[in-house]
Amino acid sequence: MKHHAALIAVLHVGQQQVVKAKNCNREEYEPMQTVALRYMKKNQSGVIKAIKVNGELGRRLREMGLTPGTRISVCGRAPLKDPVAIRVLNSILTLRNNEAEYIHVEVMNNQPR
Amino acid sequence: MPLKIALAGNPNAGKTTLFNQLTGARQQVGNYPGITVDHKEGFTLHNGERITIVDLPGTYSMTAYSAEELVARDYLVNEKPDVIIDIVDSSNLERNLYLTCQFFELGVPLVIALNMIDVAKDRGIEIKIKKLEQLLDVPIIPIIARSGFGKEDLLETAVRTASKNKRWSSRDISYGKDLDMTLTELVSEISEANFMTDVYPSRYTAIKYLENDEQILEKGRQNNGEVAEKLENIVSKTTDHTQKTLDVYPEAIIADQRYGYIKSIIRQGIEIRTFDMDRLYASDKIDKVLTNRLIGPAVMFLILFSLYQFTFSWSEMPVALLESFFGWLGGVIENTLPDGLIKSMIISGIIDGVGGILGFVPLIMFMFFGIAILEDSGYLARVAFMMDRVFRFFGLHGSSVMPFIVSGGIAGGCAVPGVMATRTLRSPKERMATLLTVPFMNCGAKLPVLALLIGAFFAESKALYMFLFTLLAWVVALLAAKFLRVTILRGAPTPFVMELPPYRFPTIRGLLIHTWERTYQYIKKAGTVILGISILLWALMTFPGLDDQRIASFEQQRQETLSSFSPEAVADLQIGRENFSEETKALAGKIRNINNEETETALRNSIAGRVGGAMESLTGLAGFDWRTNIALIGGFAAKEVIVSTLGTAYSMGEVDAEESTSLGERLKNDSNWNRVVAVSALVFIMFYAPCFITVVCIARESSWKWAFFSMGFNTVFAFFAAVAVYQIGMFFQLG
Repeated sequence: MKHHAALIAVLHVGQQQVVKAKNCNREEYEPMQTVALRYMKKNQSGVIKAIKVNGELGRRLREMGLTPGTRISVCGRAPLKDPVAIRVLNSILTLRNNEAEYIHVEVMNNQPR
Repeated sequence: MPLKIALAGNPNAGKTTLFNQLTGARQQVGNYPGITVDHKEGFTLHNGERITIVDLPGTYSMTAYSAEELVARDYLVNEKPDVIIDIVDSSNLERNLYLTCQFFELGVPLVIALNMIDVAKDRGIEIKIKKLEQLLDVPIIPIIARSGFGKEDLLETAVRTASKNKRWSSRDISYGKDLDMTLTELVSEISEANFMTDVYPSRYTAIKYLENDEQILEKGRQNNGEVAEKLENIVSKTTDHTQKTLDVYPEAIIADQRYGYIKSIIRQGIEIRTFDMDRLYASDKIDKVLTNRLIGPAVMFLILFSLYQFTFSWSEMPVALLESFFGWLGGVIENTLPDGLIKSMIISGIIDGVGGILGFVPLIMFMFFGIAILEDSGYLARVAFMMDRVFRFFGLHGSSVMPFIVSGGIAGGCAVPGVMATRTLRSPKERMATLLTVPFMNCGAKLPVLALLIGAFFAESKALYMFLFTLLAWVVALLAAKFLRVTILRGAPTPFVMELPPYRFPTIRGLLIHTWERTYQYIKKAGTVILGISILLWALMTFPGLDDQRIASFEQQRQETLSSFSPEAVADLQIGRENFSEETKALAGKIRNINNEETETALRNSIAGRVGGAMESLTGLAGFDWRTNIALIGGFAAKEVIVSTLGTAYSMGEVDAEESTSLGERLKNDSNWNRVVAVSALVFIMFYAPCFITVVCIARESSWKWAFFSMGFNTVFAFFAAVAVYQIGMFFQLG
């Protein structure tokens, strides 16, 4: 299994940035890492993978453009660290951290630019 | 029949600016029947023809989960306007088109107004309008609402589209294989049974069923229970399927697919961008400073404090002018009308009461102007952003900060526009909690009382105490909100998802309209409630009047006093010359005292006086005597009358709300009053029942149940607080 994974890693290196998982005992190397928006850092950007909530919150998030496949980036956080301001579809949206929890994002890079 | 055009679009897309451009001063604000959302309607002239323009509430979508969305949708479906102008923010095309998509589903006759193309240009975005028109099959007119650019073209196109008189038919957008199949099935059932097809296009109904739209589901069940059940079964089967395979509900898929449709269109070369996607615009740069960890809050307090200063200092002169005007008016009446009830009513009842509130209008107007600047520029959204964490602790939203400030959070305001401002809160529980606690703020009507009592009893540090009491209002309001949210308004916090619009330069016209709308609500009180209550209070404080025996006894006292002085002094007094001799002054003083005593006794004997006296056993716990009671009773109707009533009750005759120093002196010297009583009275006045107009407003925004609750809850709380202050204060002999 490990050899297989290593081979995949080699093939991918030329095309994508390979992000090594923090825990190096992981069997597979993931080309991208999925992180909840809540834990993203300032200036980090990524593509939404899934919105894991329904009901009213889900509706609000989706109607504002937060749908799978949409690119977002973190502008910053309020002085008390909550809410978070993100850029999506050319506008700036603010969300509470506990709302940002449900937005799963594939981040392009680990380090903020 | 005049043509009816409805304006719709996202908040911040410039809809109101366009509405103002088209209708100018020819607009009025009203209410949608049965619902409390504002309905702005106006008219414009095009080629000599009159056209009605309706401004729908700004929404991001037409799911019916907030009052605005329901109103927008119901208006479109029930009133069926001839054409909709969908205002789209050019620099924000994708998200704005989401609502447009829903218009497609409804099948309404549509024209798109592509607004703010100048801003888009500055951001390096060029939009291929012709191509977009083709792909969307909708006329698109570029406009700049601020300047009026494109206005005529837009109207022309709208009128032309309306005259085509096409039947409403829902557009076929694909929602993915699974859902499309289900939709076909639903549509066939709906068409066969003619299920609500007179109101909604069948495809629209089908989509709403898939989206689990409560309003449509309810209507469906009422319309035809059998068909409704069939449809619901089809939907639940599909829902099970999507849950199992994709772990989402159909409504999520529909939302995603709408954006998919939009993106697929945009990707066909609609937007040409010159700059990098993540480039920082001027607005973002400003935000880096204004929402910074340290600088942000500092700047915010600075701005709010400046607003406070600006309001008080700039309004001083106009207020003084109005003051003298009413004083002059009173003097004129005094000299022209014959003595008697009518004159007394006009002076004490009308001029005092109404003059009091009108005198404060400049202050209120400046405050609202300042708020309008903060709001229209976009800064208030940043305040909501920064304050949300704090407000959330009390069960509210960052957006609650606006209603609080409008109601008098900084320095004067009015709870009526404050209560109305809670409409922007999309979350019902937070909205109710805000609605019920904004009356705790120090509105324009409470300021004179604060000024009077602080001026009398805490003269050494007036500004400090003013500030402390303002702070107290905030603390109480927030704690009350928390209390409400933990007890009767219990529930999970509702989503805070909020857009931060780019900073914009407010238009003067917009500012003036905004300011005037709110100021007018404050003034309207004067001609209605305050006028009525002032007259009523005057009557209650005048009748039944003294009986003949006592009148005679006072007259006798006067005669005795007159005869004890020299005839020259008496003559001087009667002529009323400017410079009195010492003796005449003494005589005048004595006569004045007798008159005052007479007035006071008459007052004690009046209905109001007797009621006030009867309540003394209860209110004495808070340190209030019968005179204060009368004033507080008057305050139930409008807080503005408290000072004037207090003045009359202390037999000062006509007391100016502004120049209350003499009343203040009188209070200071009264044995019933001391610092503790002053604080207790202030606490009670700040927190007890809202004035009548606010109560009516609360009833309109929610229900009479809540309005009465507000009166009861506030008064009981205020009373206990006042009692606590008084008892503890007196115990520690702080008086």
